[in-house]
Amino acid sequence: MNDSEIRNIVLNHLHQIAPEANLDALDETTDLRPQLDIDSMDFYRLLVAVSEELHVDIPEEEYSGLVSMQKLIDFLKAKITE
Amino acid sequence: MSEFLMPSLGADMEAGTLTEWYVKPGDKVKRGDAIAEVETQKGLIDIEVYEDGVIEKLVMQVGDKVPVGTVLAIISGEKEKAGETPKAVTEKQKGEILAEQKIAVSAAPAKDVKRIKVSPLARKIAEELGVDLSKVKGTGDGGVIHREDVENAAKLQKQSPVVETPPVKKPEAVIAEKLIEEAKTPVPASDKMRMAIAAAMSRSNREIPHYYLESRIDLKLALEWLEAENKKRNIKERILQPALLLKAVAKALTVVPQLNAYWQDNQIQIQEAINIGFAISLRQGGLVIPAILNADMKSLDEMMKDMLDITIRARESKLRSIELSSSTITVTNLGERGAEKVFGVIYPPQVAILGFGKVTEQPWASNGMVGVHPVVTATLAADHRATDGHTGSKFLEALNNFLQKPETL
Repeated sequence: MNDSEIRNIVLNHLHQIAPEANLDALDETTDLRPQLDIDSMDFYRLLVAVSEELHVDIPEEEYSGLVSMQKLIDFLKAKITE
Repeated sequence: MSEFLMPSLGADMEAGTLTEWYVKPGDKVKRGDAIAEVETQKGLIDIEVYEDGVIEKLVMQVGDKVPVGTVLAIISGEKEKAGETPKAVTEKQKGEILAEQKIAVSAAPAKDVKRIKVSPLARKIAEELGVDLSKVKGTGDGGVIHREDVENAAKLQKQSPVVETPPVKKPEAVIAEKLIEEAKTPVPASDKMRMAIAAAMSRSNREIPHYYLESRIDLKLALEWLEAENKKRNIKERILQPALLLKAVAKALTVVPQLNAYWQDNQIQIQEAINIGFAISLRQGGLVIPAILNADMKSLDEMMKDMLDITIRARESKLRSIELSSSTITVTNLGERGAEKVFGVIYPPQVAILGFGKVTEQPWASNGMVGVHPVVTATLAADHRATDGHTGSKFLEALNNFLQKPETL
């Protein structure tokens, strides 16, 4: 699975969690939570949804390192190919 | 036979638009059944009935904008079994409706409204006997209506044949007219929510003498415990820190129940059920405060599940009426990106609002040593008519104690 496929999966879940957010304007290198105004519950929902779809576990201690789109994609890609 | 009224879904609600009836006359309903869908500033909400019975008549029609406290339908009960209705809910409901009517009264032109002075007992009896309090003459000091006055009026009502009196403009009717007038100049939903919040909060600041307390709470043990617990769990079963905090609040309220109360009829009314409203800010603007019902009886897992479920439904505007009308206290949690402290404004008729700021690492001295600990500031705003600072302090102390023993939560 390549970057853009993973990105699409993440964006799809983000859209469900924050339907009113403009995802086209998302800066992928910085924390997505303030950009989309999503709280810890929403972010947790995103991680649960992505981990279920891609069948990967995301340990809790990793959460804080996965807050930008790019970091999240990198992490998921590494996990999938593990 | 009883009147099914438009409930107040929070202190900031004035009216709702009926969008769908799920029942028709002749249908049997059970307590807890959703019988209608109503559109409010908080989205579409299912409205539930609080007693068993049969739908006699649908008074309002789809599309009607209905002020809080107005009759939506007539339900004939087999016999009203008051004991079957959860006490906290009905009292709360009545309280909210009364509170709303008070807002409505102050908003309506003075000439149309006569403030009725009535003892709580007389009000209750009037409801039971179906006596319209606006037509009862009070014999107490300053025209206060007492039990005897209501009972006498009920007797008269029975004796005299029903005479069609010219319609008296009720406060509800006045509001309805005002709302119809408003509807002619469309206002965006988010603006309406803003206006509703403005009205409720202005009233709170005008009427409630707030006192404030704050306490820094060391979360080292709690967060270490949570981390260890979550390590054992699959991502789907993990517990987030807000659930832990809310559970600790529920436990602390069992120790200091005076903050789990309403201020009604000039007295504190401690509520049996602990229904914690937690503020969820909506990205399109405004906020909703749905309640975790009976929070003290829920395990940490149930608390987490409920919070997640309610957060999702709040975002999708699919909250249930009971969740929006039953809070006995409010908690506002600014989360990890917020400010360090929040001083809340109490939602009447509640008597307290608790705020949690962002958890930050701070130097913390304990046992003669200084270390760096995760610390949260808990702030309590409480109604000084109902409690004093001593009670508030005891509550914050209890909260702290529970958070130092997370395994007991």
